[in-house]
Amino acid sequence: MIIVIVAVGIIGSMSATMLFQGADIFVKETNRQGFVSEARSAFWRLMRETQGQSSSADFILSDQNSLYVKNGKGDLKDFQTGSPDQFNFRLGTGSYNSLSNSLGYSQSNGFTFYNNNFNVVSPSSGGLTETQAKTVHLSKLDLTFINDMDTLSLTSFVYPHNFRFGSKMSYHD
Amino acid sequence: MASTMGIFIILSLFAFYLARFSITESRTGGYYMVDIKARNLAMTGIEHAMQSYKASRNISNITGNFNNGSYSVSFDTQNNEAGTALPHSHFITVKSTATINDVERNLRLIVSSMPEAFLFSFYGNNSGSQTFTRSNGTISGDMFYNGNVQSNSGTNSGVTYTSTGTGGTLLSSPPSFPTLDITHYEALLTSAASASGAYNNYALDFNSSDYVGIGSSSDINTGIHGQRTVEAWFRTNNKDSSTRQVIFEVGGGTRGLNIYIHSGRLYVGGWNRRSDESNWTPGTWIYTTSIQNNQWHHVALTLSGGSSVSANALKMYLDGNYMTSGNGSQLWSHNPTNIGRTRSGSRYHNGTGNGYTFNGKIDEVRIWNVARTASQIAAKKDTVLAGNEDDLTAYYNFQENTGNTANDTQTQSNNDGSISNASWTNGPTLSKMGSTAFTNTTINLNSYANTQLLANNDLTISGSTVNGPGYIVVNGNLNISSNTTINGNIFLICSGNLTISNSQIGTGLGAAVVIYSKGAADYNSSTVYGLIISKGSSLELDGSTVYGAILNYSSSFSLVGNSDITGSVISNSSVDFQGNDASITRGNIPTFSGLNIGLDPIVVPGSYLEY
Amino acid sequence: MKNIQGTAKGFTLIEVMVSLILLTLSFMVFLKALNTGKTVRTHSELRTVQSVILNSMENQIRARGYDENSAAPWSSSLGKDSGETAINHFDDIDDFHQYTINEVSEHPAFGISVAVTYVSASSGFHTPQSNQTDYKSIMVRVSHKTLSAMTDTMIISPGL
Repeated sequence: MIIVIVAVGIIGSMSATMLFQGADIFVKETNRQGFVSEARSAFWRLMRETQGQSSSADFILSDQNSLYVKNGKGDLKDFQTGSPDQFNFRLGTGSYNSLSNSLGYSQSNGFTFYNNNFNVVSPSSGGLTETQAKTVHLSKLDLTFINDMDTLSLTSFVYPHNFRFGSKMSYHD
Repeated sequence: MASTMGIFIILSLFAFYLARFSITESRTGGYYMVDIKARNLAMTGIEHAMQSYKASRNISNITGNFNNGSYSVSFDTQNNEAGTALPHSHFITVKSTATINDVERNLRLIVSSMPEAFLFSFYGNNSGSQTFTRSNGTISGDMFYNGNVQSNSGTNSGVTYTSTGTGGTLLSSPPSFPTLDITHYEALLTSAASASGAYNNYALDFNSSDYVGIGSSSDINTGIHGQRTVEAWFRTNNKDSSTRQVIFEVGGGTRGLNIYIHSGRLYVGGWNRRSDESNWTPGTWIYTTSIQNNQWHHVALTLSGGSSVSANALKMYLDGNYMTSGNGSQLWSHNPTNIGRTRSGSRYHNGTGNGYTFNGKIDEVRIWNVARTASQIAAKKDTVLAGNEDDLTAYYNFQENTGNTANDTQTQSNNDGSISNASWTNGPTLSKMGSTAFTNTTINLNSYANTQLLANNDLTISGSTVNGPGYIVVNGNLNISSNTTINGNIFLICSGNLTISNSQIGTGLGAAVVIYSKGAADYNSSTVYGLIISKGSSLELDGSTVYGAILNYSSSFSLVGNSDITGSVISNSSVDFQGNDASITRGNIPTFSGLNIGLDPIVVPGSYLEY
Repeated sequence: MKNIQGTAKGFTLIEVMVSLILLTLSFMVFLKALNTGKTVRTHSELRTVQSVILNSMENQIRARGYDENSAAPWSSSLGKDSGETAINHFDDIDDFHQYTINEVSEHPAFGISVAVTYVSASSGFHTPQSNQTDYKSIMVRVSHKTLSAMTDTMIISPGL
């Protein structure tokens, strides 16, 4: 009888420990999955919108932390990264919505622009000027997302399909 | 026990949530990868569509299976992907949908069917190195001039772009002057130059006892013949005569075929009266009353019969249209052929007899050893034959214009006819190359070989209607006048001077014409829908209206009177507004879908969109 | 002896054994599910990174011109042209033919390889062509030391 009581006691405490650890792992996994899901969704949005950029001139005012896009329908979109962890998006001229607040601002290289010799076009202090923007041929998106101990680093070049077909002028309308 | 069960239940719930999490994550994660692939596949569809369109202006749907998915591309000439109307009729929305598993991505581009320069109202390439000066008329819409523009000479609404910045906005990388591929046009002109020149169609005139007799031959009358077509052109001035007028007959009282006119009716008949043969007795005579005096008509008789009488074996066609049919059978060996008169007896709907003559003209008599179909008959009735056509047995075109022999122009055998007293005269206007003039008539280009009317001489079209699709190619001067209507999808190509007056060329942007001329071109008081390409010394529009595009290479290009162009004008030199009411307005241009016009389309910049 | 099953307050050995077995089974299932969940999540994250690397390479290729030559006939030899040593010297799509990266910087477990061939629409873009055509097929493959490789093929033409 004592043996049984001891056995039950041991098993009970083992179960409790395993349950606790199991639950802990479960919570961490779902957190991690949620973090990856959010980061992935934000980055994909960024990639897709950037690929729809209508004309290189529409990159005007963009820089390492700001990316301005106008698509083939004329819709304006912009993406902003901010210290310490914000990654925001705005459609048109309304208010910004958060795509992620797990951005590692200082670990991310943000938005980089290249000309058709694949050399970097460094934006002036207020962002790309009109002249600079017109030389942009290729962009690179580099964002690192951080959540507690978890890090996810995503980097992609993006070549807007419209850039193949020339710059939009008034007589193209 | 209960607590064990409790733990068991809790752990099962955990396991269930984890399983669900795994499935969801696995599926969602997969979508991101398929997203990239599906978007690339939609772009693949667009690439395929662009090349297909560039090659042949083909706007039918394009589909493909690739990379574990499929794509489908469609062309919309009216609206964009949201169903909103496109701003110009020469714009086309190319929509590509790609599906991989259950992930679908949609992309679109907008294509202009014309090169980029046609997006301006006026594009002056300034080959003459002049400042653009305009003191009359109006220009509406953005324009470009490759040089300086005098003040107040630019566009009245829109932006005046210049290559120098003087007189307008500087455009440092303007669209280039369009490249025109002239291969197709020049190849057609080469064909016209080797065409045989003006074709005078001769015929024979019959009266009293005139006839053409053709000797007996196994091709025509000896032996058994069950498949036969006989056709001829005829013209009478006395259709209502109660005396039979025989155009064609073969055979005699027992067996035979004939074509004749009696009391206002045109008959075809056939019989084979022996009871030990098919017993086609008394015979079949079918008729129509749709003939007029003093008018050329085409008649065809077809026989498709076997060894016994069957229904609808004998058929009649008038002017290319099926009239009626009756029963019939094949014919056993019978007496030879006569044209214009009965000579060895014949049978009619109301009796028998010999010696009946046709009073009038006959031309283009053909005997085939098949029963030709309605479309075959219609296609070749207006054309002279080459003589080597399949199943053609004998062909009498009466082109000799002299002598007593009617040659059998069929190339394989020779069943020449001998002419007895019939006199030479002019035949109907047939659509062979090189008629010099069409007056008050209808020209159907589908009755010409390859739908090409080739003329190796000057050509005049006056007060006529031309139906396409097809080509009129003149190795000489072309003159179109007096309320002629050229309907859509026709190319007018001439190596010499082009004069169009008081006429309608093309009837709408969807029924447009392409004009390519290499001499001086004059458009007077006419309306044109389409594309005018002028490669000669001068181009002048005088009181004419153009909807579409002009591509001018002439060093002298003037707009006189109230000439209006809505669409786009591109001039290698410049343009001279002589009329104060003359205008150039940016507007719609036809898409010329499916036509080889020698100009390449472009993708409208900034039009790529994922939707 | 007393009748233990009916009135005793303790547990029999058999009851304890059965409970133990049930518990063991439950934990085994639970731990397996945990492990699967973790593996799936990790794979999914690696797949995400793999897709981004694939997309990035494809965009770099798309940023180049169709061919060395500005018009047909296109180049008969595919691959780097003379003088092109680094990727930013590449000025046309087929310069990427046989381009490989053994370890992608920041993600050294991944590698990239590219193959470019001419293809034709009539064969559904499936068969490599020996002559120059208006379509190039670009296959980009992102490999991983343990996961399966991810491949995508793009068809690019000279446009209009």
